[in-house]
Amino acid sequence: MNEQETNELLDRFASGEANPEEQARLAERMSLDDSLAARLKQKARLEASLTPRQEIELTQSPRRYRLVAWAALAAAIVLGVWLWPPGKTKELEPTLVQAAPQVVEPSGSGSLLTPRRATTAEMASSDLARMKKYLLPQVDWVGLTVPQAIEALQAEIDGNVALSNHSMKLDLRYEPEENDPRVVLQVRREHVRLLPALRYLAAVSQRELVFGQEEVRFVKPATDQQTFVSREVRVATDFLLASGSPMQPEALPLFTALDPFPLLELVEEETAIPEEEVSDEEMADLDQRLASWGIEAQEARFHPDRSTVAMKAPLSQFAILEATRELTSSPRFQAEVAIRLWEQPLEHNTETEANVRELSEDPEDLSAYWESLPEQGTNLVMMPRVVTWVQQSGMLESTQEVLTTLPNEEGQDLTYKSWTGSRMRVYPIYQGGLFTLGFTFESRGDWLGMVDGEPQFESRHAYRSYLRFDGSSTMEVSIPGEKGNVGVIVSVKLIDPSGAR
Amino acid sequence: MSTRQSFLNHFLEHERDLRAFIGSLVADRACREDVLQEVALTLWEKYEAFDPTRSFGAWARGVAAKKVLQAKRQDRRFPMPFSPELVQQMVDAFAMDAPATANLHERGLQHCLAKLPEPSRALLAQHYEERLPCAKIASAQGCSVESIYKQLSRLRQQLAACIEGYLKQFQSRS
Repeated sequence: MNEQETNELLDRFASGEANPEEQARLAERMSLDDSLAARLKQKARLEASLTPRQEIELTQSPRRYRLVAWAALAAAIVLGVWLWPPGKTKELEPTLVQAAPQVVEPSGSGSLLTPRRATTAEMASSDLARMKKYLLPQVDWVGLTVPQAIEALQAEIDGNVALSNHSMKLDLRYEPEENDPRVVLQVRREHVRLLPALRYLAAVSQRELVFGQEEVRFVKPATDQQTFVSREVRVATDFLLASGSPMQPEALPLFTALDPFPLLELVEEETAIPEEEVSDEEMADLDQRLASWGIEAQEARFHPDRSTVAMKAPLSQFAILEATRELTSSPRFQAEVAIRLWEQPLEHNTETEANVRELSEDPEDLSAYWESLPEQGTNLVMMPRVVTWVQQSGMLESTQEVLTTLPNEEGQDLTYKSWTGSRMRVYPIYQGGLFTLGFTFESRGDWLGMVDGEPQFESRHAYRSYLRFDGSSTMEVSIPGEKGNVGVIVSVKLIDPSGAR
Repeated sequence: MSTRQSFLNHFLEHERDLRAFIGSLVADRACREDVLQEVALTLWEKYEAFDPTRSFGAWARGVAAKKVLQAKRQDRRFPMPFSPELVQQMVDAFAMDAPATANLHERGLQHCLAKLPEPSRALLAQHYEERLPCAKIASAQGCSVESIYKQLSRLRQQLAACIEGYLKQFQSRS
């Protein structure tokens, strides 16, 4: 590689335009030539200076401190100044005024890092209602090619964004993978709060949505040339990762092997699948069952294929929602799920260590741990059978703590507490109107020592799931308000193992 | 001064440098912003543990390096192609500059941008301010993407050389 090529490679990388192959070439080149680090630094500095700064928001539960870091837009503003003819420079004054650093404390619930441009923030039920009103009904998706559909989708999202007066733009790309003829729409994490809207979008556009950390897959269509023809409506929410890592591929077999658990889906109101009225007889039957779960439902309807029953009840009615084994006496209710939702003010949990509720590492203590939760008033959705499974499957193993003291780069001695073995964590996440219970299974291999201040293990895996232990979906409950007295539709999809739904 | 104000002062002072550091490691613009957001939050959360007699910039870059490595471990698709050793090289490269240099760099950029002809500034604005990808600019201008890459590359080189000259001039004066 000659000097010019190296320089271009550095440029491309610094400007964020290097493709994976170029990235790998640069990494290889840098490993051979120490001086490239300094050159990359210079280019990265220039790039950072030229790139307008984005809003940074700092969040700390329960209060949010929002740092609008436009102050340091200096270079961008300078750039702007030079781009404006002299007579127009006054137009920049408001920007300069806004550029002063300021701390705002917006109202509303806390969240993980807030998108830099997206401040759709906590998507209130009224917002969703508006979206429902305005989104998509006029689009006829059937017959559209994939690119056309994406264009329409973007247009609809833009329209939605316009409704909220925000300048967000989704990054939608059509990237069919080899042997995986699906349309992948990349959605950056910063847009995660739009997911309720996207889910609704999927429902109306009759697409199956699968959520990953940074992507939304509209699964149905095949190749570029094929058209959207499916009329099947099914919204399946795979792991919604509000933050953190996507589930590692190697974890999937573990979860798919779990199948003793029936498919459980809790679908928020806005994505409720089409329902049909229940006959009096069925309603009486359902009422009885709901009563046995401790629920006095305001409404209850079946999905046309009878695989799903949607219930609407005040949140307080969900103090205990339990579908027990006895319900399996009816083929329709082949459910072995147990869900409990305690009505407590929801904390604005983030995935920080502090908010991660760690289970006891001793399997023997687990039952007692779960039993103790109601007394603790814990705001938690729990699924005791999952824990039982975890115990039975040996997922939860004893761990061995490793304490290591090493100096950090500031020369301070820090003690790193690590562990080998595997463990399970459970933590609730409340974000953007969604209440999700996340489970993380982690396993680590042999301790290798410290590298760059990080504990190193021979192998390390972190498996995450969000209340969906058969590997296919996530449970999400939409809670429009921060706490009770609001209606919520919970749709529990029940699978009849015999296949006779 | 409140803790918050103190943090803001530190962060704003070093944000540009931190952004550059993350940009030297992460290949995707959007991911860089994500990482910066995460780093900012972590710095704020851990700020009480920060020793004010130490370098905030070094601390922030240390946190950023860990975040980037962590992201790569957790997601193999994360666009960071470097090994931990190369990440450390970048940490070392950034640690070599005195803190004042970053501010001088800004002033140098300001000085050098003024020297560019209008079409060059317009191209930079399209790419950086409007965030238009090269392909879109090329399409609008009716030229090839490669030519836009080359134009931008030349402009960057011009600016880099000009800034270097500015810094030398400043250092010789002082």
